[in-house]
Amino acid sequence: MADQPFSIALHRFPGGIALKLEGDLNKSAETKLLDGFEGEAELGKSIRFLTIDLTKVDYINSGGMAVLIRLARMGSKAGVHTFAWGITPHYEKLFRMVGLTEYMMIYPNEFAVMQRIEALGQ
Amino acid sequence: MEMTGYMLLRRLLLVYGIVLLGGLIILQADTMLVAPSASAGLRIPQLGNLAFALVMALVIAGYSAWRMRPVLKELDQQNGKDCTGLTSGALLRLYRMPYELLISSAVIGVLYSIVYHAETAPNNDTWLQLLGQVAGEQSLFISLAIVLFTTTRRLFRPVMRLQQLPDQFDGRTSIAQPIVLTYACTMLVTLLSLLQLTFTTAKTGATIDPYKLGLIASFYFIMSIALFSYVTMQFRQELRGLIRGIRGLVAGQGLPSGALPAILHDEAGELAVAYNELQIRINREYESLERELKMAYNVQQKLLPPGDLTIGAYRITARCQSYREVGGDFFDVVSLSPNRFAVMIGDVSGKGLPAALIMSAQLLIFRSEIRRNGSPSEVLARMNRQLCEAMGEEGSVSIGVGVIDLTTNEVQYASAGHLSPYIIAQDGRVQAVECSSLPIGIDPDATYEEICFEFNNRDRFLLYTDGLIEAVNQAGQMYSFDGLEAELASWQPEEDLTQTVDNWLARMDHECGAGMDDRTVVVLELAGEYRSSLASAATFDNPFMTREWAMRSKLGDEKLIALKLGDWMKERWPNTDIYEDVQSAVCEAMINAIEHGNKMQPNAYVNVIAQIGGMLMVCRIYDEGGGFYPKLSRDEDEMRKKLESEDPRGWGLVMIDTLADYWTTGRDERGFYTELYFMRKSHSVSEAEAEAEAEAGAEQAAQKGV
Repeated sequence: MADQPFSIALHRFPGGIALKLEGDLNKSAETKLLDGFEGEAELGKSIRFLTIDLTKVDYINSGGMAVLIRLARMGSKAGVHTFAWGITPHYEKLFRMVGLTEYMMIYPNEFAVMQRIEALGQ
Repeated sequence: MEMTGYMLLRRLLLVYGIVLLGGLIILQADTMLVAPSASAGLRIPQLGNLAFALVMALVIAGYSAWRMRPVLKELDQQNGKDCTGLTSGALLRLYRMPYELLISSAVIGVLYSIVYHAETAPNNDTWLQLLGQVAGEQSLFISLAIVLFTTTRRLFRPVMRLQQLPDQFDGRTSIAQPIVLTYACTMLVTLLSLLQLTFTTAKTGATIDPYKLGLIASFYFIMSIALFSYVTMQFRQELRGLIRGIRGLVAGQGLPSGALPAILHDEAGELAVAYNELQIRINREYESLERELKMAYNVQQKLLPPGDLTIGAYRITARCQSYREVGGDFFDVVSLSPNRFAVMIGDVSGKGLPAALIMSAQLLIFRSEIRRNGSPSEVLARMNRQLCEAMGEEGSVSIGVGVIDLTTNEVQYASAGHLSPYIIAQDGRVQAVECSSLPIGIDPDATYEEICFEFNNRDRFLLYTDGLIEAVNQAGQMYSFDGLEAELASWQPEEDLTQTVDNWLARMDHECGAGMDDRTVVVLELAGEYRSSLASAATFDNPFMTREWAMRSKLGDEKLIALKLGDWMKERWPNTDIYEDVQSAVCEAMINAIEHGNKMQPNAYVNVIAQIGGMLMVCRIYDEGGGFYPKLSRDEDEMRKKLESEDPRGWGLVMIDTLADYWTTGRDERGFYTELYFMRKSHSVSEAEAEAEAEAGAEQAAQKGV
């Protein structure tokens, strides 16, 4: 499988932002992924949830994990809950290994994440 | 024929006789013209004149024999032996003799005039007549002296051997001195003749017959011209001989040591000696250079591997014939691992010593590079970079490299501007393997095409250099690709490979001679029967299988190698699922190699060597850097700090540490490496671990209340 370019699709939903990532997640994804959030004034106010769909991401290296950590920690500091789904057991193991699961909750699918968000919203 | 003392003496006597006789004839003519009244000239009767000339010749010859005793003695002694030339004393006598004759003749002339005219009491009328007679006598004697001088010099020339002379010889041996002396004497003769004419015709009151005066003047003019011409001819002949001698030296004939030519010790002779010395020195230098070239040839031959080799199921026959003492062709066969080897052929542009130096360097660089990474195209790229850096655009080398897997008989082949190799199948089919790129040493960023193919049983694979194709036979026809293909098609598979190659090259030598370029051939033969036994043995005897990959330092490319490694693992260890762990850990090690080892330099390479055994997998990741010290803290606080830092980096090593069962770093001849070890684990174990981890994760999440 050749090198997959990284791309990101963003849409908003009531109370949060949903990111759909595609391609290889490595250090080069940093700019694309973080730039939109660093200037976001609504973080922690109207935006309380961040969901990340990793279904289309099949390669994540340490650089990519560092980016995810920064993103999740940035949200955590602003009071935003970060959720992710679509991760293989292998990467879930790696996320746990590097401590990413402290800031980002892993769920098996989008439905479970939305259920949890709904529960937290109530 | 060698000249003896007796021969020299006899010739001298002959010369003296002829000269004196000539003198008498001139005297007679002079007397008849100037003083028919017999009142002038040497008043000696005709017969008496002849007797006098004979006696004088004998006297002078006796004098010469007495003065030249050492010369005559040495000539007699050296006759019939290897002559090494006369001694300095004898040479000195030889050089002095013509001068002594010149002076003696002049002195005898003066004495003669004094004795002959002593009793004559001149009065006013006869005074001028007497002076005219004396001038005529002196003129005659000096003329004879000049003729004697130049003739004896010519006579002595053959016995004057070329040898080192003492300094005092310089003036006498110079060609300037005899020229000046003889021309001065000739001028004097002319003046004296003029005086004689003037005085003898200046009788008081006598009328001068203009016809007679003109006749006498013409006689003296002719005499003077004859003398001048004779002297000039002598020197001209002498100079011509010397110039011939020098031309002989320039043409490379040199001076034969046993029979030295007759070169006088004058300026031209010295020049000839100096030239000869120069030539001897050049010859000595050339011999020394030739010796060194022969040594260089020996060194070059020792650098090359043996011409007949067997590696696994392959027989290899290689021959490298240099056109000169040293050449620019080279080949190599390198064993890379128990089941892989590389074969290479190269041709440096140009010939002689510069090509030989580049060849030696390239051969050593190839050996070093091919061991770092088995991929031919990457090896060529690295060699190219090094050659471009070292030589600029001054040296290009064509190289063909093949890496052969002994277990599968697969060949990876890449060529940098080298001639297409041939595969000769068992049934006689000849097929060119088309694959070529630029020679190395031209463009530092060049990339090299690589192709893969597989050998069949009894296939032969030929690599060669252009010296073979460009060989020209006696009819002027080039050997060419057609000739080569026809030759290869005629090879008999049952004939011994070495025999086939040697016969072929011997035929080439016979038909085309040594040619104008180096000729190198490398032929591989896959001996089928042996291969099968090796293949079966390899399964049992070599539990570790090795594979290698290489990539340039570009982040993202590590994934491609990780995928290949994962596929291979699935194939080798089908009942485990640690391949993802291995892939991630190896990827992280490769990223470290790119970032920390190679400092992100795009031309630097990362090599991965993986070995998979029954229960253990070992993976080494090499970089081209100076090495780095891996800092890893397992302390929880440290981990937390890292996690909470603004730029949380350094997870790669954490992942390697966690995913691999053991890891270490080190350095060997290929460079710095990180080595990872993975134990084989069954599904059940890993699944149980995963379940336990999942449970732990759920508990952790529940505790946080998320």
